Amino acid sequence: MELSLTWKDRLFSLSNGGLLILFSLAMVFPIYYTIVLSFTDPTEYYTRDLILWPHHWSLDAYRYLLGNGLFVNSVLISLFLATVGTLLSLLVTGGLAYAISVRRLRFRRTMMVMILITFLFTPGLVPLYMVVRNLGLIDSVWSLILPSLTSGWYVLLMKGFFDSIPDSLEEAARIDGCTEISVFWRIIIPLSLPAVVAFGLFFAVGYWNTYFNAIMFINEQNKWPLQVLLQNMLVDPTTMGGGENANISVTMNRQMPTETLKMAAVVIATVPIMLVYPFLQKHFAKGAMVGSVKE
Amino acid sequence: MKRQAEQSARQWFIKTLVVAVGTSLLLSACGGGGKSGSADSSAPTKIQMQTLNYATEFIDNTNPIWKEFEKRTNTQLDITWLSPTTSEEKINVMLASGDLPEVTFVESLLNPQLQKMIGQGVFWDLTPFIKDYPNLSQPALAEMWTDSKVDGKNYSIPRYYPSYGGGAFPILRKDWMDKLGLQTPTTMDQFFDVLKAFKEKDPNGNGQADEIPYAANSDTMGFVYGVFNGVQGAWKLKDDKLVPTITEEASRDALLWIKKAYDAGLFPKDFAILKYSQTVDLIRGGKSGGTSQSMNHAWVTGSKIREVVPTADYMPITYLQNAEGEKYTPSGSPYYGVYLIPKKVPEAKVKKILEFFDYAYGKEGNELATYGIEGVDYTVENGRKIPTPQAAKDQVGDGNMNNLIHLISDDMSIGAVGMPDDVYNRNVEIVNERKQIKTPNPGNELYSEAYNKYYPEISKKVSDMRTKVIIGKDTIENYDKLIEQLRSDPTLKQVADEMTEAYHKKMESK
Repeated sequence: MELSLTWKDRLFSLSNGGLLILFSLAMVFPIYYTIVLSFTDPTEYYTRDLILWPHHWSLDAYRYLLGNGLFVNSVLISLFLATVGTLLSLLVTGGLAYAISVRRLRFRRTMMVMILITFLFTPGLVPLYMVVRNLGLIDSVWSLILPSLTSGWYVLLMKGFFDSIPDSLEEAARIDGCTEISVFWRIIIPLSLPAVVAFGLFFAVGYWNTYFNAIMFINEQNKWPLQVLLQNMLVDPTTMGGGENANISVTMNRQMPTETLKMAAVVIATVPIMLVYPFLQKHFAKGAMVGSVKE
Repeated sequence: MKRQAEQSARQWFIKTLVVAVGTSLLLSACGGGGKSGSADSSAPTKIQMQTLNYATEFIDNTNPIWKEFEKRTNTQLDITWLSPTTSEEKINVMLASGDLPEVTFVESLLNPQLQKMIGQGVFWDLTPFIKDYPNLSQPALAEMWTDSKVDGKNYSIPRYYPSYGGGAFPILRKDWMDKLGLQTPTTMDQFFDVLKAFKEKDPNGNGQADEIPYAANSDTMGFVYGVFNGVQGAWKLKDDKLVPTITEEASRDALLWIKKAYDAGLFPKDFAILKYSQTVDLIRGGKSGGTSQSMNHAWVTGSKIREVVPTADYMPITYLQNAEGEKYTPSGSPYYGVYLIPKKVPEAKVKKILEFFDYAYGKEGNELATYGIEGVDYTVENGRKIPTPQAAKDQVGDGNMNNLIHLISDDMSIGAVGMPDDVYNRNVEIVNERKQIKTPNPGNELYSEAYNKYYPEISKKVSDMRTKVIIGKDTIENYDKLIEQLRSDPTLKQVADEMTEAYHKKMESK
């Protein structure tokens, strides 16, 4: 009796484990395939069906991408956005969220409603474009940071986190002689580190992936962030637009990028931001639950 | 997913345009008075322009060709390049915000926003000026000017593009046909037989039946509907009225032809989900007998096949005909994209801008844009222009200045860098034969609001159904039911009526 139970148990955990391994393989395989393909010789890609291990390894795709002068430039732009932009975003979002979480702030409700309005109604692209243009920000990297400095949603999420910090802590700090600013810097921020890191990651990913604003606001090629440059290098225009236009653009002489190049571009565009995750993992796990439970 | 999001964003965006444009027009009208362009006649004129650029690297005003243009036309150019993959959204936003450069490029004259703005008188009517410029009014460009008229007037300077040689139409592996002793197909039955032979008779000679006779996907098979209907585009002229081809009996026959070919294994199995670039990948690998491309791909893609199969010969076919003997070959408008000058530009400057385009469309300017400076970027040997190493440094060739003004020559659609003489000469022969064939395209360049509003959805419904029938996920009976329903569909009728009206209006103004 007891023996058969353990046998069943074993079978269960065996099949359970097996299924889970299969499942995770299904997740890992596309990533593996992308990476392997990016190192494959282009001719080999055309002639073989499915490549699990290339016969000829090749760095051609990377050589082509990294040998492009504009490429290095665009990486720098993207890094600038991901660092400076993230810091500024955190400062603005954190500052605003903290302010409205302080109960004695006057017009707190009105401010909350105004923030709420911004994420219920968005004004749209054309007004945004006109504002950016009239501020003279066209072709400036700041056009990629200032309009997206913060979002109402993040402010409210962060406020929820600050709310969970007991008021008595703040009082104690004040008794010990802290000013308003130093309460924020010395007490609130260190205590909210998980939230700060989590939001920092959200912002960093967002800035790293800057695309739509950049195609609208940046004309000069040497100010393009990475994603726009890659898009321009790699997407064949024929798949866009459609209809009669597609018919015509099929005729353009442009040589189509090879699949291996596309894969190399995917690797380059994702790896740097993926590398950030392991370092922030421990904070991130906590931070992602911000606002999910309120005590 | 992303596509869907983009689409819904676009729909929403169009709605906001309507509101925005009123305001923006007011604003742009206010801003107009301040600028006066007529300065000292000897000082270079500043011209702001914007256009597409297919190059991977955009040039700026330090480029020698750019400078040469400025010098020869006494201008100071301020060109904003648009990346073709993202231009559509950007142009729409610029139109809506009233942020119009002095020379505004729009990819299609049928852009609804543009049509509205033309109606509101935002742009200069250039009709009275054109005749004063010898190069602009040259015979080679005459068709382009007629075709781009809106209500009988020329509001735009079209960007020339050859009418023949482009469009997705079969290019086949001539070496395979020769090996199997096959003739170039001219009917759909022959075309079927050629592809069938590709499948069964082992043209690549490796002993395995691994050939994919035709690297097709749903989009690239569009020409089949054209062949069966005997027209290009989505409209057919019947009793002086435009009728949509999707509900025609001939389209059903075309669908059955494609289904027959798919069932016979002549297309890739994942036909329904392949992207265009993936079909091209199949061809490049040397395992496929052909696909639908423009003629320059005889070399653009053909040279890539040769890297794998050195004896490969990739040859465009001239035409295909239907059972009634109507010949079909693709052709397009004699231009691609238009330049418009907003009214805020003073008349004196409009003339300067036209002068610039007159130079660029002349022989000298035209060659400068495409080949660069003689003796620096190319040398002439036996009447052919041979590029020097400097040409690559100056970014001469495809893209950049050449995208501002295209070369007035079929080479735009049939030539390619490095194309050997035999391939080029054969392409010239084929394109000249194609030019003898005038496949009607009655719906071409007609503007209808109902069409923009309703037709895409109807067309998508039908093409989804077609794909399902082809791969066997749905029956032809259900297709018939859908078509029957569409024949009595009031919105489709409204679209057809508007198109007919637009057609007659266009005929009268010609």
